[in-house]
Amino acid sequence: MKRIVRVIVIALAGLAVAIAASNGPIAMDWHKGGHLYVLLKNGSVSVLDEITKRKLATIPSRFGVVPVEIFSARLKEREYVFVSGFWGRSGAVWQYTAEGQPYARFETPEQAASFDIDPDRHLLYIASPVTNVVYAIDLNQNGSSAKRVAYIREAEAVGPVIFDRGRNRVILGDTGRGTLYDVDVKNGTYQQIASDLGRPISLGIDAAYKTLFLADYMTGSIHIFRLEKGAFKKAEAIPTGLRNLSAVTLGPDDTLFVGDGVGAYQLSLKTKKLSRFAY
Amino acid sequence: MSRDFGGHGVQVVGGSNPPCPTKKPFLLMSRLLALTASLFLLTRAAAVERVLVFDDVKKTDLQANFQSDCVATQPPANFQKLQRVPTKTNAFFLYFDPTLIEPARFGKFFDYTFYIAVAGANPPVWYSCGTQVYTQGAFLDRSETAHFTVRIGDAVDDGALDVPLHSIASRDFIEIASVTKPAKVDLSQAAGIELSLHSLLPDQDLLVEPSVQATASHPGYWVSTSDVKLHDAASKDVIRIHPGDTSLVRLQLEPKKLPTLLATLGSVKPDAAHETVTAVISYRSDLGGVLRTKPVNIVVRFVPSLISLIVALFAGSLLGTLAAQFLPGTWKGFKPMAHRAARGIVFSFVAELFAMFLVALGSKFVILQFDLDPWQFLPVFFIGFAVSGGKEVLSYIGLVKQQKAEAENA
Repeated sequence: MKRIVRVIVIALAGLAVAIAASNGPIAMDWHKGGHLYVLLKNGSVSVLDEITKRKLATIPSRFGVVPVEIFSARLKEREYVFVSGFWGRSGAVWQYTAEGQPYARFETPEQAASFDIDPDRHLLYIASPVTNVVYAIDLNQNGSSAKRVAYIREAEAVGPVIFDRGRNRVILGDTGRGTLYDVDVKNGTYQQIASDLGRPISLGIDAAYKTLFLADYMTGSIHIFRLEKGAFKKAEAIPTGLRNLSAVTLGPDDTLFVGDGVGAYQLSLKTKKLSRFAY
Repeated sequence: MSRDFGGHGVQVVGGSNPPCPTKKPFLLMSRLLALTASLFLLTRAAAVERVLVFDDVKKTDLQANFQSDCVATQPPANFQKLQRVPTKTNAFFLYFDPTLIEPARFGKFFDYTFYIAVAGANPPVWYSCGTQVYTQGAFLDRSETAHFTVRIGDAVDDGALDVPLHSIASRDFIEIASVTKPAKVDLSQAAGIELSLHSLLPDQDLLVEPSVQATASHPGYWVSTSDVKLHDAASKDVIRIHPGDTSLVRLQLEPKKLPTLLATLGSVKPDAAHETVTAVISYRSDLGGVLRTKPVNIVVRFVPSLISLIVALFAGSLLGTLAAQFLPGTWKGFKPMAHRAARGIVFSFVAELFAMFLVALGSKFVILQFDLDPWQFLPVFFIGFAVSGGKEVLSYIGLVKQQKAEAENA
């Protein structure tokens, strides 16, 4: 009898793990004063307390959309979370309140679904992997108002984007060529700042805008760039051992939050150790 | 393209620690070792880069480009289950699991995984080749033959395999229509709206998600328009449609009986619409196609239940009989009225059956120049009223006179 119960318990645990694995985190975001937002494969968002990891809310998934990216920002003293996705060749970014209520929707051109926010200017920077163009969308305008910021001629398929508020630049990874670009949003000029990065899949930046974190899907490493003389330089790489690394964002107390499509982890930058947490 | 293939466990530290003078020989040795390791890695990277090379697929409507990066690996656990393609001289085997194809996280290209095995090698020599496939053109997702070359050391061999190719272009792979136009929604049962889904794909299955986003022009007519699903008798999960096939499914929308019955009173013509439902259906091609959506506008006509029609017929018939009794000089007592009412009901019933039969055969049922639908509440009520009330009542309210006058004018 005990054996049967044990088998059932093991089977149920296996099933739970399989279910969790099939809907793992693909993108994460946190900033000081906000919650930890975890975008799952099925498009829903888990809102967690960044310290206790207690689930505070769930934002339901959008219908018929492949989820791609998540960012949160404080605009006019109110916390918002932005989630992007695409279907076919169309893309969009949805804006929610921190409580998960839909607030606005922004159509994006040419499957553009990687993005970040300039909270000061209320701009959404998005990048299209199809055209390799960086666009800016005014968050105060409804509908589609994408304005072209830069065209990355050498890029094969641009991927993750992060806005560096310290220098007013957009940092952009090329998933096709494994390179990193630094784009001046004022005049659209850009320069390649790193190469041989495997497949850049996610970018994070510290609160002082002096350290950049890049997750490499191909090798499972997190490349760390430090700002030196006004430009980010590759400083070190932390191998996480995660097979399908998909998300990186800064966490509290010298940590990073990382995700690999199966689990969510907190990585200590001091000890380089990963600790898994539930989402 | 050169990449850091030896990424696992590699840690590049750039000048964070100042050099210690007391450990100079050790440092020199470390640097020498690091340089040797780097050269080894670079050589290895350069070598593995050429392990698998696909020729571009070039067709009138389709271009595909493959970029493979291979690393030495252990044989995959399930390699016996993978699709196996030998090269021309059987020097290598290419293994492929098409079910692992998936669109890249940010879109544009697709990720494929191929494995290369050296034939007869002991210990086994395997390579895992992550491949980015870029497609262009106005094609619908289909399979094409791709020619590849394998080069390991001095051995070179080539072969070809059929690979599913997927498009990111905005073309529909599916045609959706209601089986009847307008779509008939039977109010007597919660059967929903019958739709036909036709796959346009030439050689790949189409997978339709059962969840549907539905919006109605009159949401009050429906129990709920959220969490609407497509029901396919053949499957409970994803609806699989084979290439070129058509599948009949039901959009499970449940009408509210009274509001929809009242909605039918507004229009009596056989082809008139009572409601418009917009359903957004999401689908993708099998073996890793991009998720797509297709909205379809469905014009709906509610069909009252048989009981509603019987009630309408009885009510119309009784009203017609009663109206006839109020005409001057018609009243002859309750018994004759009851007889007349019974006779009226029988004749109304016969007329309704006759009308249903005619319309079912494709004919029109016209009374007083009105093209009536004998399946709707108001026309059935009118049939009962007209048959039971008789010519006197119709004449009294002016309908017959008008017809006569019009006939004379003609």
